[in-house]
Amino acid sequence: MEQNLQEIKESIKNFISDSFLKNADNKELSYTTPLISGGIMDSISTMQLVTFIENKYNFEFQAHEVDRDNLDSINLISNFVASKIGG
Amino acid sequence: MKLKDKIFPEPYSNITIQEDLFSKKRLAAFILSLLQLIAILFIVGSFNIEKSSGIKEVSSIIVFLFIINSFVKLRFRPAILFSSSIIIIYYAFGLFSGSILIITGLTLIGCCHLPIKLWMRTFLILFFTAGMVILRDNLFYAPRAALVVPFIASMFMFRIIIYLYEIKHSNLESSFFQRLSYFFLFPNHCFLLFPIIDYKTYLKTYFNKPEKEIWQKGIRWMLRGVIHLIGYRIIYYYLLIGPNEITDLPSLLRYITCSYALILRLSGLFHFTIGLLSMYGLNLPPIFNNYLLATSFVTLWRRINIYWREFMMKIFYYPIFFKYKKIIKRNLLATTMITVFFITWALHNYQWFWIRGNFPLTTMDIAFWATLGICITINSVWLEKTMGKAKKIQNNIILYPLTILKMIGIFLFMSIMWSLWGSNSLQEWTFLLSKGKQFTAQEFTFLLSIFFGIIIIGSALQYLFSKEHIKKLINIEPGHTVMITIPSLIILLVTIIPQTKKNLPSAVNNFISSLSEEKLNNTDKENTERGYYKKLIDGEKNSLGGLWEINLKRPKSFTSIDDITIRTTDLLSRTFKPNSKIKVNDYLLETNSFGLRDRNYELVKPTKIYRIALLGGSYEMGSGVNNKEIYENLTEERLNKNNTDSIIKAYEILNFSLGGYHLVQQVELCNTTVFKFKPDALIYVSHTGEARRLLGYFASNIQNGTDLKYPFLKKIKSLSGVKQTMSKIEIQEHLKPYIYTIIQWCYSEIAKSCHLNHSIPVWAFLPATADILDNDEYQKIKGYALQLGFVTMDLRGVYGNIDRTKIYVSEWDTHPNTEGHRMIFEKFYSEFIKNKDLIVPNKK
Repeated sequence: MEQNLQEIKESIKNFISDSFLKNADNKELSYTTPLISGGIMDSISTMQLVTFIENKYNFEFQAHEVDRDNLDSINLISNFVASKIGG
Repeated sequence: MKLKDKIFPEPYSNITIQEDLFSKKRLAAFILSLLQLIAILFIVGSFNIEKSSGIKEVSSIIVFLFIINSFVKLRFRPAILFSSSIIIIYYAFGLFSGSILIITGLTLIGCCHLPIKLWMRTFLILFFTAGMVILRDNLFYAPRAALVVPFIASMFMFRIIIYLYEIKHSNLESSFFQRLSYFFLFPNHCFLLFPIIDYKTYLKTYFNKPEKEIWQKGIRWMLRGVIHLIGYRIIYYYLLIGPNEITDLPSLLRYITCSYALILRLSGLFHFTIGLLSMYGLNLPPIFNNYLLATSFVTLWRRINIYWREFMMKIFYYPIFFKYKKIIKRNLLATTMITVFFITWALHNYQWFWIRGNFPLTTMDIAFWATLGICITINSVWLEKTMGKAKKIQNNIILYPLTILKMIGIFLFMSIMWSLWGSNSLQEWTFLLSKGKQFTAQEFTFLLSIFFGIIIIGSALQYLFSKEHIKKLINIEPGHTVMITIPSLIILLVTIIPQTKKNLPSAVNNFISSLSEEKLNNTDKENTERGYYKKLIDGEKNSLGGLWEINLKRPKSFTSIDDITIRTTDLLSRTFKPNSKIKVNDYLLETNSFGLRDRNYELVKPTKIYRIALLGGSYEMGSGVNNKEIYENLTEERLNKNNTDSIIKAYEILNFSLGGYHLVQQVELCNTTVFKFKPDALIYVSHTGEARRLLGYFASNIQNGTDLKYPFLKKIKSLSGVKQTMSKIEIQEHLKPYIYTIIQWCYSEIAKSCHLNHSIPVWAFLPATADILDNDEYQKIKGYALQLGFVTMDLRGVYGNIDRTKIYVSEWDTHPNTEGHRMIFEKFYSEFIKNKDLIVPNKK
């Protein structure tokens, strides 16, 4: 399970780096970097991330699940994904 | 569990450290924050900032409760916050209305927690809402209850939506008083227009940082708010021009950019409000983020009123997006955005209804939101497509000026859109924009140099701020911002404390004094209304005001003068209903059997009565005062009291005046009504701004398609080239060259009617309380009167050197009050007596 969680973290980290940080001045991204509250992700990129996660892990978000409690850092995202896929 | 723990549990909070309440370090931080809070509230009071909100009146309550709140244990503080609200409600509304507000609020909150299905609870809340709609729309007369509806609405109209959403979707635990105080936030009772505070954010930010940090943030934001509000005043009083003052490109740019500056007032109010809440532990996030520096439509949307955007995202955008995802395969983002902007427009109208009592369903409103929505949608779709791709431009030499160019572009676009939103019609707006074609080479060069100057300075600043050592200098640690707030407060205090301000140059003192009062600028005195937010914040003069007016504890009347007038299709436009009586705000308006606001008279003039007809507008009608207090009535009483004439048994002054009557209406009155009463003399009262007023009213007649009746007026219309379909401003522009000709004609018609009916024509000049005398105009129109044989009465200097605001009916109604009418009466009577031999010749 820990290995799965680590895989999830890496996968999400790579997606975010490749998709949203190409043009950023600061490309450093840790598992605790605030994504939404830190301005790295906006509503458009959030939905792109949601779509990526839904496609990769084969589950559907509910609208109310798209918020900072679940998506504001890679750790939070991974834990949420893990809870959804029962991993 | 002890009772204390049940009623006052530890609140939901992310607090990490609970300091010793009486430690030296904490006491020092508290005293510093307290002094700063007192200083800010003192500045707010001295500058009369948002006076009608009542914030000055409740300042001492705010300070007292801040002290209490800072020294009770955390578990009791939500109760203190809630109690602050209750105290202010009872102080402002009194026992009855205050209790209605509180009980209604508690009932609505209670409905959210009933042990029934959520849809049933929602239905129940909608049921109560329907009741409030009935009261808000005055469909049911209950003034004391209706008084509180806008305040209840302001507390609940958005927050209850968020609250129900969180009940459904999250399992946040909060204390009883936290739930209550989420709705009962005391600054909301001062400011009806209030930020949409998210419930989850409200809970999670409650004392989530060290107190000192939150307090200092509160001070910073309150100070920023005050500076924005003072900045707004400078622009409003000194820079903003009216649409009828636009003549060329520079004045058009001035008009549209200064109109957009209204947003400073909104951001000032919101910063102040959120800052004030921070003093009570609510470490809320920023609400505006340098929106004037936005470089695209999307970044503007993200920076301007962030709380509104977050509310829309949570409640509408994401749910709609997910719903549409199942049925739309293409253009999902665009479709969702357009839907959300439609809802944004609808919710702005919804907000307007609750605060102002009607729906502003105007073309301009729809055009504004549609255009903004389309631009943001297109920008969002473009961003989505280009996300992840490398930036095309990497070179800072090009990037910096390009950034400034984008900022200027967005700023100008929003200024133009704001002028659209504030215009009365599309024709008016396009007419105003057409003035931008007028400019000289010199003016164009000047504007171009400003444009390039901004780009150069902006680029230089970007370069500077990119350097690490500069970044460190300007990114001050939250705990060290006293280095900015304290000097700023000292500078503001120096300008208002008598002992220090006497050392300032007199020009500076005069400037500061002018900013220390809330008043209408010259343009708004002409009743030009400006835009969504100004109307929303200021309200109409007869509508519910802010807390200050409520504190008078007198329910407002919900009638207006329209309820006692009859609309006509002729030049008069309206007349009074005969034998009617209504209460308009605080005064009683009564009409006699002839539909005059006057005592009863016989149609046939009795013998030995000297009858005078008085023709005027709202001043002579006595707008804002009771019948007996009008200067005309006082004059009649004094004339009769002091009458020793053996031939004249008594004087009668028949008051034919009505608000909105001007020269053209006076001519019509003379030809249809006045001389049926066989007056021996006729007094026409002229005021400052005669030409401007006549221009406005005559333009309205043309725009309404009123039959102009008189060949002369029809000829003027033809010569000027005006069309009914033109905007009012355009009509006025066309009529301007002819205005003095029209005045002269009107005077001539009145004089002719008088001579035909053996009546002495009298011209009286009464300055308006708020206008500045135009001496050239005065001499011109007096010259017309003298040439035509009028006896002249000069009431200039009637108000002496008193503070004019003391004789206004109210803050936003500059008509003379009872004292003002008394002053006018003394001067009017004195002038009458001075000219008595001419007005009342001895032939009788």
